[in-house]
Amino acid sequence: MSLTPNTNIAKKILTAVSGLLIFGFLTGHFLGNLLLFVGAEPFNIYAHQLTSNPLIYLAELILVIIFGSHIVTGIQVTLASRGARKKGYEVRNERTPKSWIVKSMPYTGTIIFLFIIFHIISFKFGPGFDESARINEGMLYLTMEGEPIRDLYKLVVVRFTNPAYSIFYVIAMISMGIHIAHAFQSAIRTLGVTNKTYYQLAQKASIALAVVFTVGFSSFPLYFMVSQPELAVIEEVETVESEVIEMNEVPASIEELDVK
Amino acid sequence: MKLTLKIWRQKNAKDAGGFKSYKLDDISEHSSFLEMLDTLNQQIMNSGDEPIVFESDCREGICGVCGLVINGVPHGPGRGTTCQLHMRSFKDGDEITIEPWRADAFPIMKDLMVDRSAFDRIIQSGGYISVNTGSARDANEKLIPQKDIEKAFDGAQCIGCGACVAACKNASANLFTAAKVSHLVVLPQGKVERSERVINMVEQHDKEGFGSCSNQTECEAVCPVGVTVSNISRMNREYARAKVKNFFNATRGGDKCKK
Amino acid sequence: MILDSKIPEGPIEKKWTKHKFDGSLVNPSNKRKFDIIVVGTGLAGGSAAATLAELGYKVKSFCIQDSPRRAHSIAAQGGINAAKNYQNDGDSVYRLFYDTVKGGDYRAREANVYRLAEVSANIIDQCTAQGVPFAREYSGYLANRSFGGAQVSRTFYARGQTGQQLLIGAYQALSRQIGLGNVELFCRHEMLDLVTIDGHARGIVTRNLLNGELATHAAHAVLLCTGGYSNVFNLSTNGMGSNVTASWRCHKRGAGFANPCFTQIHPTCLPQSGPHQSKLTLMSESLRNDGRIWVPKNKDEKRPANQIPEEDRDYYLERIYPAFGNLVPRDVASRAAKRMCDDGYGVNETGLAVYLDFKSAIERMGHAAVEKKYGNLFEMYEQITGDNPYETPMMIYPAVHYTMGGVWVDYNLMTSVPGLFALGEANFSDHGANRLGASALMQGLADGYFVIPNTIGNYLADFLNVEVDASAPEFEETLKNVQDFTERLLNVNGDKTPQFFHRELGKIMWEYCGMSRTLEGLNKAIDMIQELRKDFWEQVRVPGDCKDINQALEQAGRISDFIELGELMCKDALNREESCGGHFREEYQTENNEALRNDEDYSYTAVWEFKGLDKEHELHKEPLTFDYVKLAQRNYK
Repeated sequence: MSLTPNTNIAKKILTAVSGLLIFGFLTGHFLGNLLLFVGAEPFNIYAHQLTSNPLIYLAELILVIIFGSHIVTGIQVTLASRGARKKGYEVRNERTPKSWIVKSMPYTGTIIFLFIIFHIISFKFGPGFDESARINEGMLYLTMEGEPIRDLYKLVVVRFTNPAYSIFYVIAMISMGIHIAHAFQSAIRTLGVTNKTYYQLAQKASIALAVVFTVGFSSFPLYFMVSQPELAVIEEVETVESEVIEMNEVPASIEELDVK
Repeated sequence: MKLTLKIWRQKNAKDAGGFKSYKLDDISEHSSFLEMLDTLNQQIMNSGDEPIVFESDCREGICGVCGLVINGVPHGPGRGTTCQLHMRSFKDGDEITIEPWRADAFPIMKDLMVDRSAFDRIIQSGGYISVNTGSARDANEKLIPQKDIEKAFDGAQCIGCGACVAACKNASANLFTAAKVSHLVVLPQGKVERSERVINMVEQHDKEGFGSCSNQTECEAVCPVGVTVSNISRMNREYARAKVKNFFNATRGGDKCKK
Repeated sequence: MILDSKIPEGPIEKKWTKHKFDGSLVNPSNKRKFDIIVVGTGLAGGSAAATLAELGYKVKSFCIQDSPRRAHSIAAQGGINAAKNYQNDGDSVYRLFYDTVKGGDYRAREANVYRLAEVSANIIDQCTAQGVPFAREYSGYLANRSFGGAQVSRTFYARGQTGQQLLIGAYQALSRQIGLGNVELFCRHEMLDLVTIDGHARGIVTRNLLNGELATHAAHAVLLCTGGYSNVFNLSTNGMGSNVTASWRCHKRGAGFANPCFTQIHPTCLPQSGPHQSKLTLMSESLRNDGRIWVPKNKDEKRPANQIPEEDRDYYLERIYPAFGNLVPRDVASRAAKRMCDDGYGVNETGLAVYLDFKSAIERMGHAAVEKKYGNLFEMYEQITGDNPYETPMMIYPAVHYTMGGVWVDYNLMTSVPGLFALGEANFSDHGANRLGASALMQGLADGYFVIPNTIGNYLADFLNVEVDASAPEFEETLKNVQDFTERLLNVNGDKTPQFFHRELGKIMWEYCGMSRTLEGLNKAIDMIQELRKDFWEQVRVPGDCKDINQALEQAGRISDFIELGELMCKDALNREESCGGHFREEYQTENNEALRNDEDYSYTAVWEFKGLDKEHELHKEPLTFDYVKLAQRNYK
């Protein structure tokens, strides 16, 4: 007898646990991102400290496992359920209100998954990921202490001042909100809360979390899209560009950047 | 009242089946839904055709054998079972669509009759307390608080009709399975076998080809006796508990909880 | 036919213990050499199959439903009696025994009834251990209620679903044995005949209701646990599928049928709403504990029930029977209702209903307490009728509910065919002419859990190492018989549906062999039924074929048996020139319209032997002696 998740309930419990852990990640991610509203310097330093810590690899591995198991078990359970009724009804009337939210879970999940891939490619692995290419990509930021770090803030601004980009983000965040609206209370239920008071609380919390995370994460693209801030920092970066090139004799190949 | 009925006809388990329309006049609104179908069947038989096969027995909402999806809702617009539905819930001139339970684990045998033996096999896998006749002690020896009896009843009252499966978008039998797990585990006499019971029943549930639970709670909404979804939560909890317990038992060298 | 009741010697309280000790035992390792067929999976069949399998016998269990859990025992609402005396109100095994014999109007076997009372307490223990959620007090102790006719609180209950909960208990025990491989389950199989070899029951012929396949099954013993025959009245509280076929076909193979005319009419059922009515619904008799029965004093009363003032109401049960009031025995309550309606005081559009009123109960106990006690019954009533019983009185009318008669059995529950046993409602044994409320569940479970496991060994012990196998020519013959019968049904090709004949039969039975019976009526009924039987075999039309699911065919076969049984019931009622319990002959009544027994001439069990379809049944009498209970005319005044 092992802990192998050999039944749908076991898988569901894994989906629920990983889902709740993802909430932890989202909360951290959101709080960190709030620094965007404070300014370029704090945000860039925060981002730098986060990514330069060697523990980041462990953290990333854990995140991959969490997301991975959430996705894999989610898909498994969905497929098992799809296969349980191959011939459907001619007429269908459901009594539970807003059942489309439940039914959209695989779809909102897929949107979120695609979004995450895109998000990681365009930010984490986006311009400035490669330290040596930062100058050429215009993604270098010098802190007050003079330390050269990645100018992630600039990247955020460049991306989010593009309305198409921001709107796509907001749509993805709404999908996430819909996902969360069912997910949190569902997870609580899956994990065995039978007490009606707690359960009803979880239902309310589910909606609250959905709203907080959707509005919260959407506020970043919307803020930059609406405010269209001047990228004052860019000049500062350009002034130090030559020095850095000196340090790096051979510049990395220059990619076409949508930043420019 | 006059009615148009669109009814699923299927010769046998292998037949593809399809809908057939019937017109009925002069149905009393006091008659029950199944009595309306009885009347239709008498007419069909009088015209020399084979009557529509549907199941019913007690016709008072307790045996759980009847079950039709009426206008897209298992057991139709009423609160109880199909046999408890009366024609006063419909209007003169209505068109009513009648389908069988649909789930791969409930194969259709003929017309509106399905095979629900999967439920029996789930109970056989562990839905009981292992007490041989004669070994019981005095019934008052173990006191059971009223609230525990009420909790047990929430699950115990399940009539095994399968509406939960029919209504579930995933054709899951979680509510049925959970009702039995809950019924037995909240009682002191059912606690001894709690781990093997829940594990065996949940595994059998999946083996039968029922889907998973998405916590949509449509099952609770159509359950004719009001079994609540909190039973599913309890089953999940019990299952997780049993898995972890068995894991530690196994690491200590014992694997006692699995038959 | 020799009727040896095999009642053990000795004082009544020692008989069962002595019998168990004297009986032959089958060695545990030998038990698996015996095959036992159990037909039916209700309280009696389910409990018997489970218990015999636990003991080690090889059991085959058959039911016509899609699952053992659907047996009609599930519909019993009120409760189950047991002589636990938890309430310290003077109950005892002896009192339960005494009440049961007296309630049965002195037409039951004392020894059997005493045993029933004796094992009753064990049933509660057993069921509780299985997880049956009996009602409890706040303290956690088991709760009891007093039930129709009893002056002690000895009825255990599980909301209004006691039958369901007990059946689920037995079903779980049976499921466990199926899971362990000790019981082989055959759902959707109908027993259509009994195979006898040298006069011993050795197997059955079944039809698989899904594909029409006929098959034979061999065993050392066959247990009939197939319930009662109330559906002979077409409209009864029994399930649509409840039938007498298995019992009747055993009867035709030599099993005596005892007291067929003893049928119980339940006083608190929902009245008929029209000709479409397919069955009647019982409301638990426990409603009479707090509800008051009345009719308007004025025959032309037009006001809605809840607007009729107290002075215009006739609480006739309280008026006629002041000591027992609304709690008089079922038959008394039923006949009183019928009398009120016959006299023109009936309510409802049909004039065939009386009021059952909870107004004063709600005033006395409060809405919440009434709801807690009767909530689900009220809900059920509202669902069916559309009326809210909290606001307007319920309407009730009697309906056939239970049949005390059945296959004759001896003390070991063995019928007059050796190797064939009958348990539960299928047998005649314990309720005499009238069954007390909450005793049916008790008897079914007593027979299955505690009696048959201890008595079947007596028979089986003689057949150790005797092989029974279905290749004997008798099996083939019986199968052929069933095949011919089925073909005959399909080939009549008349123009009337089986249901038509059921309705006609029901009308005759209700009119002439129902709540009250007369010499002329019964004679007339016999002629009419004979005519109906002739018509049936000339005019019935069974569509479809026998190789498929064919509900009309199943129905037709059962109705043909009901027609034959109906005739015997009338003959039995005609023979019994007295009134007792559920059998009321208008010629034999007291000045107060009470049943007038004739202990001198009719203190016997009438056992009918089948002699051939167009021959007269032969009557055998098993005399009843009462050494413990004092015979008295019932008086509920």
